[in-house]
Amino acid sequence: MVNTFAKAAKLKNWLARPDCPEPIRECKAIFDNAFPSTKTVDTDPDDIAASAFVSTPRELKHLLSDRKVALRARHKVDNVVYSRSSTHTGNSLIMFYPEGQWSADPVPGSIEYVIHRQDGSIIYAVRQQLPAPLGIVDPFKHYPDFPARVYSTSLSLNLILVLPSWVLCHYGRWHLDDKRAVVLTLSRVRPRLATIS
Amino acid sequence: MDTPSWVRSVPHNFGLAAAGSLKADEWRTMTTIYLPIALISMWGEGTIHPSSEDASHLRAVLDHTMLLVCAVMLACMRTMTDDRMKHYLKYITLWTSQLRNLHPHIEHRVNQHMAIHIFEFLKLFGPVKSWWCFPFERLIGQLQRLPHNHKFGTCSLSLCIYKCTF
Repeated sequence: MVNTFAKAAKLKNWLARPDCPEPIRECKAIFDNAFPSTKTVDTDPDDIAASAFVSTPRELKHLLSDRKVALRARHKVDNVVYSRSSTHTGNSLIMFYPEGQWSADPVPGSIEYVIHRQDGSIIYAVRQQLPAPLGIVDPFKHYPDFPARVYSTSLSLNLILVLPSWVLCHYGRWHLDDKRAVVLTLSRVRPRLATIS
Repeated sequence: MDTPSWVRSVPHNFGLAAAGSLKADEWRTMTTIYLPIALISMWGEGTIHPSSEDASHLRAVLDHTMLLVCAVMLACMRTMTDDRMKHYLKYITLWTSQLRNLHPHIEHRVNQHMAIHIFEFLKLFGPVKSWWCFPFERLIGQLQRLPHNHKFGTCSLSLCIYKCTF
């Protein structure tokens, strides 16, 4: 079974190569028709109907000059799905670099709107996770290689705009109590956080 | 807990016999996300315990467990640096050497010795993602789920078609 599996994998790899002979490619087309792939094909996410564009919501008007925008439920970047909080709370939690400043520490926030602008670009409107109130004990600060910190359970009232390229990763959130929420950075690239004094 | 959809779930009744044994990937999710947050929130700084002895013992157990958690976090990084390798070695050797001080009933096992050698593998081969066994586990899973009639050697064509369409 493993031998056949390996042979089939090699065949599949060969069929996908650019130097595969044309007659074999034609056979592949017939093969694909006879045995369609079981994988689901994503529809083009950038294909937005003109009717999807609506007047810019009131709370975004002071941030965006666009008269009309399309509001989307989710946005896929490098196979990672980011959603607005009303669609999937977990997928809306992002660590991002404010103003795209890579030298600064990333901050946590929740995506409120995924905005598709008329020029085709995507931008997120984000509510930032507020810092923990003064005097709150952070039991996570003792473990610098475990990238969790205590924040407030509240989100900022103001929205800020975040480009998808400013996003580092998702984060996990758990409410310790009414005032404290644990924010765990889920980046597999940059784990170490500065120890809060 | 709010987590993105790519984080796999773990059994809600973890610890009970009904939950069964966890798979390697579930252990990783449990060790790097759920368990440390639960333990730190119960035993970490600022928590209240019946006596100061209890508090100091639980804090010692927590600090010891977090050595292992931090070692796993660093070992699973997608990029590897000298600093991360050295910290991994520090955490895993401290955890192994302190294990019997806190848990005298636990015997040392070969896995603990092997975990120390991961430091050398990180130096030789780079991030674990490029050489860990999850791809092989996934292939075994695919092969096990493949419908067959137990007549080996006679199903090559259907297996080929399955692989090419999967």
